[in-house]
Amino acid sequence: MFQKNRLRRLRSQLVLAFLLSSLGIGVALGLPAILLINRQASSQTQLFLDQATSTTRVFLASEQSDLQNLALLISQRPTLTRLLAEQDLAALEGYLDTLRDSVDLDLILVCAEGKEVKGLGENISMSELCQANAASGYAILSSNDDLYLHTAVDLEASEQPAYKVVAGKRMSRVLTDLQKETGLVYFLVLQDQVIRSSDASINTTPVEAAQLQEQSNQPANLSLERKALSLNNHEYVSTVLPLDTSLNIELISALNVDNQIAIQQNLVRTLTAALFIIILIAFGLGVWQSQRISLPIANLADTAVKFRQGNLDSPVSIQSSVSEISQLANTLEDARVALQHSMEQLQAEKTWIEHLLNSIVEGIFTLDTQNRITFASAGVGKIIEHELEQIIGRKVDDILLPAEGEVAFSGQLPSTGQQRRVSVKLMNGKERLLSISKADFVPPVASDANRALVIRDVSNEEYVHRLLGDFMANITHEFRTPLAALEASSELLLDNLQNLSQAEIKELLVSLNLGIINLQTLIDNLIEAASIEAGRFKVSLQPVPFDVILKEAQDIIQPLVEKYSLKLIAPVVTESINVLADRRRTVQILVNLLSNAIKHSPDDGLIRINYFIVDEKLRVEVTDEGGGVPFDQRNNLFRRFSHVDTSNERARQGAGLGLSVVKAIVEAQQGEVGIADSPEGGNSFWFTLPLANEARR
Amino acid sequence: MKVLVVDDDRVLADLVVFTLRRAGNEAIIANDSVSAIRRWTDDKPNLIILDINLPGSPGLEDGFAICKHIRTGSNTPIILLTVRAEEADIVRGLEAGADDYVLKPFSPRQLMARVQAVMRRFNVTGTSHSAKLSVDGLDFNPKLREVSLASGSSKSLTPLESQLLESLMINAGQVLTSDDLISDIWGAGSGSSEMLRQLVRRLRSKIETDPTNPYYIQNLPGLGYAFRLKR
Repeated sequence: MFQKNRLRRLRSQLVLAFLLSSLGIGVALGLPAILLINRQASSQTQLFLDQATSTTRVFLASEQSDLQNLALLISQRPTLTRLLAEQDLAALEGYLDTLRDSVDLDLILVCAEGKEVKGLGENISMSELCQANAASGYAILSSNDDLYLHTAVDLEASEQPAYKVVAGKRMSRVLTDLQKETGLVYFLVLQDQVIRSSDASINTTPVEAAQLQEQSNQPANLSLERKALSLNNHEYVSTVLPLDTSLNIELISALNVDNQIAIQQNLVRTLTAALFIIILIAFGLGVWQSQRISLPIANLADTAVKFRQGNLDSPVSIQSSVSEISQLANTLEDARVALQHSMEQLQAEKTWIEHLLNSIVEGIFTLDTQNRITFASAGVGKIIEHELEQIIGRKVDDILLPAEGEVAFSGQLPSTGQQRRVSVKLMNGKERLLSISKADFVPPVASDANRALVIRDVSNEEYVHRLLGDFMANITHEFRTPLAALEASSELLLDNLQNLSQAEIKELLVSLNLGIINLQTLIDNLIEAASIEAGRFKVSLQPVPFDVILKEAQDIIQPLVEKYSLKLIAPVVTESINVLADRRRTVQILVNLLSNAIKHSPDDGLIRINYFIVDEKLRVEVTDEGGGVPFDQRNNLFRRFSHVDTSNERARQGAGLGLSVVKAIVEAQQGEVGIADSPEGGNSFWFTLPLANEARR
Repeated sequence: MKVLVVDDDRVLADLVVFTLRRAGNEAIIANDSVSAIRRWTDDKPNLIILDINLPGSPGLEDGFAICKHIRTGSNTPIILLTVRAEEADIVRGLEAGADDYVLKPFSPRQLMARVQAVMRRFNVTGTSHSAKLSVDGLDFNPKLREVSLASGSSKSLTPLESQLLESLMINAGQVLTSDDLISDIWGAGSGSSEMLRQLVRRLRSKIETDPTNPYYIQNLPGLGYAFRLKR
């Protein structure tokens, strides 16, 4: 991955690229153009200057030839010859003055060898000119600081002595004419000193003069501005023309280049402005184009971020004229639709699985490696009697606490694929027996869950199972006692029959009999209980005289009463009372209540039977002198398999059957059953029977 | 001989008494825990035949409790006569200190045989070895049923424990099978390996310094037991 600070926005990158490329193009085009313009202007100026120089040369040459012609013309004047011959110098002087004015010369001189020389015109020394050997050239006359252009012509040789005619013109005038002719400004330099200028308004200092000379030798391709020299607020470019090397006379011709420089500057300025505008336009175009490219991409990126956050609802609608971006947007939209479809399918499947898991009665939950609960189905909540939200993420050992004497829940998990029963304590303190099966699995994502547990509350199953076990054990014990009496008494009889007395035989037979009675009662109760349990219990009600039932029950129970040295007080029924009852079963009620009383009676105790007629019903009571049943346990007394929880182990021996059978029979006969405190202490069990006829008191 | 019969079922109690009397013994009856203790204290019986399911009183809930109570100060032989046939009950009975365990329903003949076996063991005055036995710092007097430990303290043993220790010490250094030991102690046809296991545990708690890591009585799973087995 790139580092954060290296990441720049696409837009700014594009803009920067456009800016740099347009700048580059501008520089690449503009710089050579400017150089070219400079070079062009410079060489043009140079060319112009060169042309002007040749014009100057030609002009000077023609000036010289004019002077020669004039000198020749003058020398051939007859008046001149005549005056010379007459030696009339005064007249000659006058003539020459007139002549000079008429031919526009500054100087006319006639030299005569060894004789008087008559000069005319300005008051200058003639001798220098007359002595000069050169036919023509430049001369400086001491009487004047001007420079003269002069030409000498020898008079015709026939004349004696020989004469010489010199015609001359001031250079200042020549230069003025030149300026008029070429438009250049001329400076006359004598021995490196500017002595005359064609334009009187331009005064040159010695320094400027030196610069002029120096600049004239600069190479032609130098830029105009660098070459130009500023004089009198004007820019000039100059060239030097040597006139007379022996006298060191030079002529500097200077060209005013103000216009050229202005034009050149304008050109450069216009070019720069044009380039700037082009760059600006290119930059603007670049910005616009990069917007067009980068904006849709930025939008795509935003959309992709939304995808990552799981927001697949809003469609990808990105308009772009860039085909690749448009294609990308379309592909993204297709992907979104496909993804959304898959997500919906997954969601539906997940919902279905959650429904499935939550509709299972068994609890299903998963644990991670730290034994934390990562998922729990609705079944778990029902089993542990706690809100599911509050257990997710908590340790399972904090939810399912170990029962008394057990180790932590996570230490009791069965091996994979196995089942195990584990006692736990819920957070509300209730104890539960759970059947647990375990599956190890590798989760598809992360390592958040690696064990799945299925728990089932088997507390009730176990309770019923135990109850049944207890019942079976109790019934077995119940049978063993009367069987023991049978086995022992019969064996004793068989072994000792020869030498037993009558009394001993009778005692053993009574024991045998009592064992059988107990067994009979037990079996009767068991059969009734079984038919009640199976729902087949039915009574056949018929009018029965109450004294018959009473007598029958008494007969059955009497040997037991005697054996236990108890006393049974039963009323003598003098009146005729018929009850609507199942005779055998009503006897069974009484026998059950009486044997219950016998079992709970102390030594030499008294058991009473009483009867009353109350509200068209016969109420029968069996009262003993036993310990009594605690008040809070009376409600449970008639329930099947229940025992009064006393220290009295014998109370358990009833297997809880006797009283539940009593209740079932009584209620089937439309009667009621209950327990009351006896006024003498002990218990008083009572039940009612419907009367079959008009009862009399 | 005077025998105390404790049973709340009068029919059965009478039958046991009948049997004992016919064999020439004196028999007295108690129908609940409290009278059982009273009779034991007052009449000083030579033997007690005790039912487990009894009407009790706090502290004396059942036959086990009575048995334990008696064992705190007496070696009087006790035979449990009960309907409770579960292994756990038998173990509990022997732990409480009973000498034998007879299940209801019972044969009077067999009951008398067990009574005689228990009494014979109790009255044993060194049937085969009247001399003191001494192995590896442990001194045992079978006559007095008294054992002196290496630490100097001495313990009194019940007849069953005494019989077991005698058999083991006579054969010190050799392996005795569980069946041999059972018939030595309870006689042929009675006793069980579970009863033997309980008896060994009781004896170990009396003579071993660390009963969980026994020094004298070694168990050889699948074979039996040995006293100081030489390896």
